[in-house]
Amino acid sequence: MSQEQILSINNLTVEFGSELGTQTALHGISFVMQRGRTTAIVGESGSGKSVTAYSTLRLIEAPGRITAGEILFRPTGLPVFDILALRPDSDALYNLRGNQIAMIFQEPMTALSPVHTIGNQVMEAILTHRPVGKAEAFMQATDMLRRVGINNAAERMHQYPFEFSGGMRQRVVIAMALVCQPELLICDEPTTALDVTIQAEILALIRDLKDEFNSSVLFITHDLGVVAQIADDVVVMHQGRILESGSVRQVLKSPLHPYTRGLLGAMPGLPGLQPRRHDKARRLATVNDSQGTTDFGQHPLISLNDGRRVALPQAKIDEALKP
Amino acid sequence: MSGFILRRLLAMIPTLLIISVIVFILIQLPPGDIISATLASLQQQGMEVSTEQIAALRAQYNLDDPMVVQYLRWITHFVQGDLGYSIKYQQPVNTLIWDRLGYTVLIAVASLLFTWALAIPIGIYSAVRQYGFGDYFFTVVGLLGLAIPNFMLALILMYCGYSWFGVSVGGLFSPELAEAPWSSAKFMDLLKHIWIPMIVIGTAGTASIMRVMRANLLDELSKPYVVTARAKGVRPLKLIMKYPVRIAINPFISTIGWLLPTLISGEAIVSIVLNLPTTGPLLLQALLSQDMYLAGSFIMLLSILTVLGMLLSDILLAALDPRIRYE
Repeated sequence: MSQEQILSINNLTVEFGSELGTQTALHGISFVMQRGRTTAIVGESGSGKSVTAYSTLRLIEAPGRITAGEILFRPTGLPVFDILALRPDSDALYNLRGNQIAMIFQEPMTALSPVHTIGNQVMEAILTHRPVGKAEAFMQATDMLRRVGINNAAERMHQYPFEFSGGMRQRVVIAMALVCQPELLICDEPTTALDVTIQAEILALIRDLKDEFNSSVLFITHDLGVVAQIADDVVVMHQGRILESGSVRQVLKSPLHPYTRGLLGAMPGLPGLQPRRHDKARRLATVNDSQGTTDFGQHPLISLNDGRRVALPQAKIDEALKP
Repeated sequence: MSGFILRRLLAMIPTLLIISVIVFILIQLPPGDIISATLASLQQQGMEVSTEQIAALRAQYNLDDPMVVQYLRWITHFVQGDLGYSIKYQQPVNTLIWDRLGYTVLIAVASLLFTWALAIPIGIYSAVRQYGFGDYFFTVVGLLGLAIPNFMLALILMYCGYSWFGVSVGGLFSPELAEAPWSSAKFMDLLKHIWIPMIVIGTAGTASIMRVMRANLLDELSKPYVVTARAKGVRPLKLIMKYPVRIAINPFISTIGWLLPTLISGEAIVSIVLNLPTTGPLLLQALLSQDMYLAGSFIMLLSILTVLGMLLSDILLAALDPRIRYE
C-alpha cells in the first residue's frame, strides 16, 4: 500500500444468513482509494455499495457477516492497519468510528435522534473523541454548524431535529460527521432523499468541506449525474461484484463494460441524445431493457494500461477499445 | 407550561362531574337500598322489624327523596370535603377512608416501581439479546408470572413465609404495632410487610411491560439514528441507554394514568387474601351492602386519582419528548 492510498479494500466478502440459506452480498471485491480524492461507488439497489460502506466502519450487523478480506487504512503519519482485524470492542475501532472515518447517511429525516437537541448530538461526536469540556465542545460544534451554512448556529444548537427542514438536517448530519475532522468521509447516498436544488447545495458543500479539511471521500450513489459532479474515480458495482473502475472521465466518457453503458443509457437526458431504442421510443430505457438478465459476474477484473479495470474477457476488451 | 396545566385542571371539572353522575346512577341501579339489604339479613336471623322503624330509618337517611335531590345533596357535601355517612359502619366516610386510600396508593406506587425496576431492564436485555437464551428464559418466567393468579401467588408466598421463616406475613403491620402511632419502629415494620403485596401485585404487570419494552426497543434499535450514533463511535451501553431506550420508554410514561386504576382494583382479591388495610375489601363490602355514600365517595376519589394520573402522564411525557407541544 503506497503513501498515496488511504484505503485499500482487498477481497472483501460479506454474507447475509437467512432462513433460505446464505446470500452473498459482496463476492470478494477489491479496490483502492487515493488520498485526497473522491471515489464514487455506483450501482443499482442491491449491488452491495452500501454494504461496502458499512463494512468500512464495521457497522454490518447480524445476520450479516464479513467472512473474508481486509480493509487497509492508512491515517496520515500513522502506520497502516487492517480495519477488519480490529477486535469488536477495541479502542482502536471506536477511535476509528467518527474520528478517523466518519459517515453521512441517506435519510436526514431519521438519521438524527428526535428527542435530543442538535447541539447534544453534534457535541457528542466531539466529547466522544476529544479531551475537551462541554463549553469547548459547544464552541466547536457551533463553529462547525456555522461552516456548514446554518445561521444563528448558537441558538439552533438548542433546537430539535423536527425544527429543521430536510436540507438543514442534512447539513447538521454533515457537521456531525466533520466535526472531528476525519481523514475519510463516507457518504451513503447523502442527496437521494433531498430535492434537486437542495441536492446541488449539499454536493457543493461536501466538495468544499472536503478540500477545506483535506479529507478523502467515498461517495455511494446510484445517480450518475451526481458522480459526474463530484467524483474523481468511479467503481461500478453489480450484484456484489465490481464490473469496472477507473477515473470518472474514463468510465463516463468511454465505458468498456456493457453494464456501465446500460447504466449510462438509463440516464434521463435531452430528447435526441437518448440511445436509439428498438421499441416504444418515448419511454426511458432501463438497465434491464438494454442488458436483460445477462450475468456479468463471472469474469475476473483485468487491469488495463491506463489504470482502469474491467470485468470482461480480453477479446471483448480489445473489441470495446477499437475506435 | 403552567397555562397548559391550568387548562387541563379546568377541563377535569366537567369530566369529574359526569363521572359523579354515572357513579351515583350505577350505585342506585341495583334494586333496593342499604335499608332493605340490612332488613333482609335481619329477617334471615329471625328478627322482626316493624314498618315504623323502617320508615324512621329511611327518613333519617333521606332515602325517600328523589334521586336528583339525593345526588345534589351528596355532591355538594362531597366538594365541601364531607364524604357522607356510612350506614353500615355507623361512621363518617371520612374516618373510614383516608388511611386505606393512603395505604392503597402506597402499595400501588411500590408495586409500580417494583414492576418497572424488574421489567424494563429485562425488556432491554431481551431486546439486545433477541432470541438468545436469556430472552427465552425471561419470556417463560414472565409469562408464568402473568398466568399465575395473584391470589394464588399470595397464598404461596404466605405459606412459604410461614413454614420457612415462621413469620405471619398477612397485613401491613405486626399485630402489636397496627394501632400504634407512627414511629420509626412502625415504619420499619411496614417495610418488612410491604414487600409481599408489592411482589404479588407487581409480578402480574411485569410480563406485559417486559414484552412491550422488548418490542418497543427492537423497533428503535434498527432506526437510522442508532446507526448514526454507532458510526460516531459511541460505546454500545451508552448508546442504547441514551437513544433507543430513551424513546422506547415514552409509552410507559404515558400510561401511568391507566395503571393507577388497574393497580387499585387489581389488588382487591390480593388484599382480602393478605388481609391488607387497603381500599379493595372495603369497597367490595360497601358495594355488597349497598352502602351508597361509602361506595360513591370511594369511587369518586379513585376517579379523581385516575384523572390526576392522566394529567401527570401528559406532563411527564411533554417534559420527556420535545415533539409534544402544550398548545
